[in-house]
Amino acid sequence: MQRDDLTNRVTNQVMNRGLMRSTRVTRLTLLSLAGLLALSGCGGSETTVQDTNPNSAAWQWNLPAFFPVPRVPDSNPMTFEKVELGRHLFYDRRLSGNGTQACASCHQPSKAFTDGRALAVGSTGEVHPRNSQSLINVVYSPTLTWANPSLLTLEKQMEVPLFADHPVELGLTDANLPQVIGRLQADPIYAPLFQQAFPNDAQPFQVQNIIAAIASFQRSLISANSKFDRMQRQEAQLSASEKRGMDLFFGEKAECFHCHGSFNFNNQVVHAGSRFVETTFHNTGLYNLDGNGAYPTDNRGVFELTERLSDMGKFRAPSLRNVELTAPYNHDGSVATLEAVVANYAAGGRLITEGALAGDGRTNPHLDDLIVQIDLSQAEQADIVAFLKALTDDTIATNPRFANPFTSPAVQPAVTSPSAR
Amino acid sequence: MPILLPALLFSPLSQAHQPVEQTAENRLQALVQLDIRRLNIDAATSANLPLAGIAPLRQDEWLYGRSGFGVRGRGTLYQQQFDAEASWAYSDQEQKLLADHIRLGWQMQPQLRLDLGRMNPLPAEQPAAWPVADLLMQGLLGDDHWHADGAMLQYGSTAQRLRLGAFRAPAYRGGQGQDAGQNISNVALWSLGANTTYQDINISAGLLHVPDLIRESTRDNSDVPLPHTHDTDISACGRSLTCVDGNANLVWLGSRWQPTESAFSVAGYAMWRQERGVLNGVNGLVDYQGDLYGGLVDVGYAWTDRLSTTLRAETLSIQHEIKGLNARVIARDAGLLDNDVTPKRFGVLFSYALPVMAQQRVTLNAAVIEDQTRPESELVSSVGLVWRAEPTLWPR
Repeated sequence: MQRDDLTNRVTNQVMNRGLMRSTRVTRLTLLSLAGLLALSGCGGSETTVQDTNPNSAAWQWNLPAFFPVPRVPDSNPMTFEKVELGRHLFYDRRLSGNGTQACASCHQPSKAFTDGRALAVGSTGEVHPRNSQSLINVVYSPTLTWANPSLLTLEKQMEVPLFADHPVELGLTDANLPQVIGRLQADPIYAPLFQQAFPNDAQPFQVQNIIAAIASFQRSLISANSKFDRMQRQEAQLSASEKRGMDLFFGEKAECFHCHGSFNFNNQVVHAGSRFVETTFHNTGLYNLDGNGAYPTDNRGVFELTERLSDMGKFRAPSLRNVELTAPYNHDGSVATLEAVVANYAAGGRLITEGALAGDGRTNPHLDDLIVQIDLSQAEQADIVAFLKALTDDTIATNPRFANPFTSPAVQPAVTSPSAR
Repeated sequence: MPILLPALLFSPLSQAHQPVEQTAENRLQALVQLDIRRLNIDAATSANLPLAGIAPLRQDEWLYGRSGFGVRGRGTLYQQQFDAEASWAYSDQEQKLLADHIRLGWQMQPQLRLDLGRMNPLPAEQPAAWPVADLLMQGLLGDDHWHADGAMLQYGSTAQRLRLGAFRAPAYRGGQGQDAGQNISNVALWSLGANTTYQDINISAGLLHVPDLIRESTRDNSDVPLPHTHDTDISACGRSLTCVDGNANLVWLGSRWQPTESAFSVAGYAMWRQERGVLNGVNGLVDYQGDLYGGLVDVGYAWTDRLSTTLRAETLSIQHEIKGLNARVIARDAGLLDNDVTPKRFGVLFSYALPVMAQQRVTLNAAVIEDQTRPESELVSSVGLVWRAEPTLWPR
């Protein structure tokens, strides 16, 4: 009954009031609205991106959407030919003075281009004071090695492992350099590789070309295929523990991202679009030998160059990509496991209770402001470790572009057992 | 969130209040409004639209925005007519009471008027308030209320009126009133508007210009948590923040057909906002062009004097063009890369005005909205109550 009344009333209203009005006015209004809607853009939403092409006929980076274009020195542009030559040289132990060691001896693909040792060992057996660093994504590093703010290019840095005499790494000298180059010239594989890589050089077998080629190969070592990366590409999902760890890592509690927050999980990044490059170094409270913040004499960080006390114990924050593969940890390899690393940060530094290195790093006066005690439970620490392991790119060891091109044992890099640490 | 005056101005339940056209009598009125809505919705926030620096709306189960109080008066001083308004209202977005409109109006001549203070800088009619913010305002501001400090000069009659406004920062999100040298400009937003009424049709248009725009645009629509930064100032743009740096223009059109002798009413709104400049991010500096188009149509039918129904359809088209080295990475950093949804909403709103005392109005409303702002659409329902009172304090 009520419904009938309402219907009748509506009908009457429509008949008597709505439709009795001039239809001209209605048309005018509807036309204006149609115009308004047409102006509102009937097309769908779209983001058009025109990225300046980082690729060329000479080289293609194959970067994921979240990696910026690397910066490459004008003096050494990337080419497929140079990278291929560099790959051969990188794995060739004939490049060392005594023919026993290659770059790959300390930078093995299966260990994310580290060596699994606490401290690197050179071709003469001399022990390096520091831990071998990963070369993965090294193209994005504005400074190189653990604590040298002035070492800015791979070409310059490579002079250290090639020619350094304290400690000796590959052990090249002015005296043995002709012999080393002669070894390469004697192998027929290298003549075309050098020729194609440096077509404008009448005599391409030069040490500068060797450096340029290896640097190009190192720049090609880009890893972006971890579970975390695949998650960003919607190709994988993190486990619950990994997700909790990620939230802690990027969250207000653990705040790991302050030093490891870039796409490369470090805080020193340079690329083609960089305009402000920060090269910060940090004292993370590993040592405090004298109560005044001293670090072991052979490993005092940036202080060794600047001799400023405030630089005592300052080292570069390394990328955490593939960190699962790069044990042991810290600049001197003195922390064996990821769990111990996270525990040290949770404690706000490391306490060494006995021995020559005893001291409370937590009270180091030069401790970075970002290193504070964090109330992380064991479960939370385990979650952070789980997330860190999700940064492992398992394809590094199997990527043919990164792989050892040699099958002959004579040119295979010597790999010393980790037990020799 | 909105606040008292816009609700009074643009509520579908009442178009009665127009401050410029108040009665000529000197008087002082109190303004009180209680607006309570209960939303039935899955997500606590609206969709995170790929718009530079626009955060999603809060969509709590209970919303109180638009609730507030104030006073409004009109008087004569030195033979000049003045009116003033001061109102405060709760913001659902900021979850606090905000000074909304603090305005002094001077009727300089019968057709010339100057308003100074805090007011809505958009010199054209906006859609009526609904339980959730309309897409146009959400896309423009990430809010459904707009107020700014400045001045607006108006010329004309009710039927035809021109408006010219100038407003200080931050009249528009990112309207810094600063140039590249960080020199503070007095005007962060210029506005020009006009409206005309012909028979039962009102058409209004507005043009806004933001000469210096610097607004943070940060990705937060990814599965990866966004690390916080201690650099929140625009000086951090390019260092630790990704920002839109350039200028902005807005074209706004509104049309309403509300015949006195018909139960039907139709209103339509369209906008086009363009932002031009660069994206200044940690991964580089690239050219940026952003266009935001929006359209909204309301079709109302008054079943009785108290019961009405309004159908609403609204849409946005979000378009970005980003060019330069690392454009893809920077677009991603800015949260503009994933942009494959054309936001739409379709809704129906039922309103019933209770019979109450004079100078008061109580309205019950219920709405159902199909929200297509996410890849998967969802249904939002709402029930609410609006109580509005405008008692005269003086003269008694």
